Amino acid sequence: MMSKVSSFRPLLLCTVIAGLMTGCGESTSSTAGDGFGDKNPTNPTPPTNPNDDFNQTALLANLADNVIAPAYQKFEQLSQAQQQAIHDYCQLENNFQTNDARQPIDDALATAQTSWRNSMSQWQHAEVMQIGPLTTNSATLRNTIYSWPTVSSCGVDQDVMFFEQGTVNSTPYDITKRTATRRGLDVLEYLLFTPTTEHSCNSTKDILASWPDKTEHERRVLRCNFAVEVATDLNNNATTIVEQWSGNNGYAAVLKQAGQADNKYATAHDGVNAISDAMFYLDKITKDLKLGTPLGLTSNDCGGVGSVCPESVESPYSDHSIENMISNLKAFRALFNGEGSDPANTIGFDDYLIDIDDTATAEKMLNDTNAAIAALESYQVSLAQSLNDDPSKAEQSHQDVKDVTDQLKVDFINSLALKLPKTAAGDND
Amino acid sequence: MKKTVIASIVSALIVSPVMASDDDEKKVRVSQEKTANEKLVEKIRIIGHSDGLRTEGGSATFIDETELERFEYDDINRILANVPGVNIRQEDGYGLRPNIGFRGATPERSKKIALMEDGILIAPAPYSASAAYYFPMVSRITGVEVFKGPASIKYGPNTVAGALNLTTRPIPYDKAGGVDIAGGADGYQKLHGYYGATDNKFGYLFEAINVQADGFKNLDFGGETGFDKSSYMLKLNYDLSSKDLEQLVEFKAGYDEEVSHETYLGLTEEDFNADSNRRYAATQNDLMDWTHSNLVLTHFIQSKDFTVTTRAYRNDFERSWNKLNGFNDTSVKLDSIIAKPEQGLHPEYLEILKGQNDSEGNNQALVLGDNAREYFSHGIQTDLTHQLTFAGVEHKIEVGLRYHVDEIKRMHTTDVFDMRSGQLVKRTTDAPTETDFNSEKSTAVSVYFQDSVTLDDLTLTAGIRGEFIDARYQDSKDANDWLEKESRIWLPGISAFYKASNELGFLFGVNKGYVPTSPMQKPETKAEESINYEIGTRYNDGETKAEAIVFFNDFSNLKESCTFSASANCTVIDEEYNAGQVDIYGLEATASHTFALSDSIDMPINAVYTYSKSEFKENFVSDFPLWGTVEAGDEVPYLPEHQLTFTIGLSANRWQASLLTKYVGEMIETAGEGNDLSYVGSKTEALTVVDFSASHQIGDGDDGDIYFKVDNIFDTVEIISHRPYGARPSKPRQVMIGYKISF
Repeated sequence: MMSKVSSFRPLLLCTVIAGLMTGCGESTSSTAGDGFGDKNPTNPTPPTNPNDDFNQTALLANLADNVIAPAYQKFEQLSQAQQQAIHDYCQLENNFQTNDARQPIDDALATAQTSWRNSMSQWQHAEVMQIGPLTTNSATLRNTIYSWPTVSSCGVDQDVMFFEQGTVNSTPYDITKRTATRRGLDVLEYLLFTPTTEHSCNSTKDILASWPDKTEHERRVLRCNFAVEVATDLNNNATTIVEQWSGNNGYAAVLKQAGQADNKYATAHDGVNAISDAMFYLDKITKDLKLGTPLGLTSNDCGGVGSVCPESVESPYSDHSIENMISNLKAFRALFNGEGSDPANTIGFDDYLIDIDDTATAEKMLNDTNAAIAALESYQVSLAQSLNDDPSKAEQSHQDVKDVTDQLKVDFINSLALKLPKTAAGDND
Repeated sequence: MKKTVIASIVSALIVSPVMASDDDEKKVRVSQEKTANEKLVEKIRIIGHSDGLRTEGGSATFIDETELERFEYDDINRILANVPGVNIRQEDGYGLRPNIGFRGATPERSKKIALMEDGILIAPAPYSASAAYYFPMVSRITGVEVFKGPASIKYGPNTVAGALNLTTRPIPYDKAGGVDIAGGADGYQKLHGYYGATDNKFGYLFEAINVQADGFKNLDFGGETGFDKSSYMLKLNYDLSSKDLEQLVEFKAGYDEEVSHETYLGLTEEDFNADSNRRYAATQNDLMDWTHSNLVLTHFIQSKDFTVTTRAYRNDFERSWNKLNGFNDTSVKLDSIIAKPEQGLHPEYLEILKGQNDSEGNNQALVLGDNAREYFSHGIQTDLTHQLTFAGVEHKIEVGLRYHVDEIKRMHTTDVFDMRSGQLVKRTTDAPTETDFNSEKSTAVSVYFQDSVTLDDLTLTAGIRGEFIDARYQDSKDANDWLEKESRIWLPGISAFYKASNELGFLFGVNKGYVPTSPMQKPETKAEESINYEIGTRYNDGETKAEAIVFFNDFSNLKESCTFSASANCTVIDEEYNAGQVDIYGLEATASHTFALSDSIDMPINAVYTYSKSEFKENFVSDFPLWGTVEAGDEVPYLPEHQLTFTIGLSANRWQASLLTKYVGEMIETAGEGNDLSYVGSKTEALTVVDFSASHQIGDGDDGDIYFKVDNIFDTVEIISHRPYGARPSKPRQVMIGYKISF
């Protein structure tokens, strides 16, 4: 027996070593260069009790009721006004006789265009507030209202005729079943502002076969008839947002009840994170797409990286790009400082930052945002024209917005222990 | 050119039987003693024998050349149908880039198994980037071995799942050669030849093979969807044996290449149902093009008491993988467009993918990415086996040491195209945009020590493996963007086998599983670790073999990485994710028996069954597209609950026929919930495929065999996966006929 036990020595030794190693046989260490992690930023660990000091539920309530809800409501009102203005213009266009003066029609068109600008400016507020109904189902509702940067003027030209024809592929034309690039503000911009009545398709489209044979006036009538349909659809969608946001079962209630049992957001902090995600619109869209793309920081309609491209600006027919960005920044500021429809309640992210003793970030972000707005308001010409004249002004605007988003991505996120949105982690800078 | 080369070799080989038969009748060995070469082959082929009751602990399966030739498979996925505990996610239908996992380990690119050819790690960079974008050409493989549980601790670094060893053709003792020519549906062609001999102390072998097919998918607006693969291997050896020592040196050189018109883009559900073999126009430029070379120098020495095998190796792999990444509009993702074609802007983009609409504007331009990479791995490893009897008890001590270096260099670029009337047209004349340019390098020393003792009817094996890894990540464009990591870990394992009788035994084992993190992963990303348990029984009476093993893998941290091939919405490609604790458990069972129907006809039957179950043990929210918001109790994706393979054959002296039926149960494709996830609640359909093969000798057998096979007799086609981007079909029926001769 003894001999058998002793014969197990190597095995026993191995087993003992194995046992010991299981407990203590692992170690790792690392060193990193200064630049490591910039392209792969680490999300900070949320604080164990983020509700400790600051009332995040109050922040959510103010932003949901006094900042976001009024933005949607105002857009609904303006889209209704726009629908009426386009209807009025189109009625005149339809009633136009060859010998009539065009001035009343042109005036009505200008009024319709102004109403579009008003709607668009307000929508650019809402763009920075894409939470809940505007993000679900692959952002279907958002895209039906405004699908930029995915637009299709050729598609719109075809739908002008499909609408006139009353059918598409042998089924009755129903705009609610059409793809997003045939609906919304970008479609109305094309219909109301495009300087030519030629269609924009590069390849042959059967539905447009008769277009060249139509008179200028016939084309205007066809386009304005479709514009009325689009404006009506847009107004319906604006109403949908308001409905889905408000009421006891609306998304505002979900946001305000973040952290309660069975709520979509397990904690109020998660709800705050959802708003923070929306604010990154300023980084990915305003900075990178609205300024970076026409500046040639990425490939664009004119070529690859390095091609300055006025054709790639947002709202090219209406030259409304600067106003859009100003609205984006103002909406961002409203979410940041909480200043909305109730002057008595301005609880915002700046208060949250101050509460956790990061007043410096609160002040710098607000100052930089105001500076970026002021710089954009100083443009005397459109963004496209400015890019043609001297791209350095747009480059400075890009830098102005970047000053804000750099703070957003680092100090803001880290101080408030928020997570970066997925799309912001792969940094384009 | 390469087909001409291979055809010349094959035609030369067809002539050589005459020479061989003229030369001599088959030599009868003067001695039945094994040569050093044969002993080396046994050493490399780790399991080595399949007769009698195996008494080693741990699960191990061996598929030999005869078995492999029965179905003439070119696809490792189909070969592994006969191995229990294997979970596979099919992708292209031909098995060009297999996804193999064992016992529930993620099958993605076989990255969690230790993949070897002739005992040498063969994944392009097994430590730095273990995803096996290169996989040895299965048609030239003569043995397949699978180890799971404690049996795998000798073969790291990945020990959570197991090891897969593919053995190549050995240098023959006599003059020997063979030719195999086959053709089939969808332009399938195979040309395969080898010839080798041993002349006194010098032996050699040359082997060449080409397999190609036009593909079974049809590209909108035309274009290629097939592949063309070639493989060449040269082996030379010299026998240095003396009276007391068997000794051999062997040199092996291999070169492989592949061009395949593959894609990551699948189909919408509606389009799949209309024509499962369709491919959208936007994939017309997708192309994988790679070359692989390897050199191995082996020294083998054996005396009465010990065996030492030392191998120095070098593998190089270079690839260009040009494929559709998505659109310039980064807000729309390919997987979302395909999964939810009716939502948002998806209809617009889907029409562009199909070529039914032209791109309009910069946003609708298509981005094609070339994930060009260069890999190398080299090292030296030595394995010592020492048998000794100490105080009347037999010990088999095995010690191994390996020094290994590998590296991956990424040189990724993207290029932008417009869809114009169904054709991709480059948008600018600019050079492609450089995206990820970086390298990951690992230097690893690994050791193992294992002792097996046999005491009466009990065989106990205890072993430990050490992995010491120094890793470095470096961004090629930013000198300050680097990370260096040192990892040290010991991985113990213990197993036991009790021989209840000469036919029946019981086994038990436990080992620690490990998968290192890649060099670029942040230090806070934990390595994957698990404790794996198995208990089972084994029976072999010479006619009937059976084995049943229950396994339980207790992961303390399940890890995944986000790749284009796994999914789509990766924020950072190759980023790794932690899932915390996960349990994976199940049953593996095999049984085989050969019935003698008459004096000349046998009927072998074989059944392989795997039951697998998994559950996450923690609630968590992950950006990894296969997980999402996971609750404890949710299942791990792509792990079928039931798998069954049943093979029945008829075998006579001059002919054989076999029928293989494989059932794979449905698999969930996403673990949790989430609005951003594309395939929440989606499951792959259960799939039953029946394959048939038959062969018949011509004349008395000296003139070779003609063989005929039908893969998927009933042409059953199901969605095998919705990853990476959309529904992908299983391989439809493929008929093939071939002729082969060995001499």
